[in-house]
Amino acid sequence: MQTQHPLAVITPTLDGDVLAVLAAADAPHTVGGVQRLLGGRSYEGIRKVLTRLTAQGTVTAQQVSAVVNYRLNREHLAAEHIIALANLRGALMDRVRSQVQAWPTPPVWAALFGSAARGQMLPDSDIDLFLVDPAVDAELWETLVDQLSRDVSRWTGNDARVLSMTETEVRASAVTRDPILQSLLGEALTISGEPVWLRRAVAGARR
Amino acid sequence: MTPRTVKADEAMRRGRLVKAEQFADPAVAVDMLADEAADVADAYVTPCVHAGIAAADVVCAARLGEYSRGENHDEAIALLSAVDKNLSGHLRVRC
Repeated sequence: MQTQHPLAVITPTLDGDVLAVLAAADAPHTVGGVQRLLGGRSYEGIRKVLTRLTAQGTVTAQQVSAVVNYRLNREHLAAEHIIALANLRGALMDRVRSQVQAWPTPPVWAALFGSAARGQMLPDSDIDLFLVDPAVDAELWETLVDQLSRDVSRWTGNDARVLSMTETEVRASAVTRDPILQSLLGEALTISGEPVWLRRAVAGARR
Repeated sequence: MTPRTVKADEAMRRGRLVKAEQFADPAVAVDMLADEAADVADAYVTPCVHAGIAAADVVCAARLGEYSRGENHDEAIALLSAVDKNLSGHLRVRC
């Protein structure tokens, strides 16, 4: 899967990307507005998709002055499924959260980072996860992380790459300004633990 | 109520994200240095509020292609609620 093209898991067409935009916000969108959000797609192509989806009833169209506003018809039978597909990244994060929080030694903090977090994945990109090891049982931790990696691969179709550090290693990396930690600060999406955990750990280490 | 908005491109979205981080980092630092929450209330809350507003702009820019530019805080909340009602609830919290 590609987090920025969630509906590509069922359709490689522009229709999927347009539906993902409409599903992401319960607000009116013009053809130009959808084009601006998608970038690099033709105005005419998007207009045709919206016309097609309006005919199916999944999208509603409302003429306002000179423009037509489109939005996802959230009462349509298909709407909840479209919204769920559009939120695949969130679903992945929810599932990882459920899994790691059930571990006998859950991570201190867990996050999604890399291209999956930035929404810049290629079809064969890895899913990058960062876990802070509570440093309780190294052997058990390795087993759990390996299992998670395999599970994420099955759930997504992508290879999963788990970067694991103990809190001590995080603090040491903060002091040396490790590029990976800098990337995490800029793009990580918290899966488990306090959203400000990493910022707090880094600020504390550099004080 | 129709919120006053401005169109947002990728550069503007990134700019607001940087701004959100610039406010979030000192808030975290203030929180860490404080012995008692009451000692730093304004010094902590004010950058948090600004970080939250900038972060809301980032979310709206990414999902709607525009963000609120009005003086009215309720307009920003209304716009964000179209994207995520849970997030807009956080923005509604007043000092």
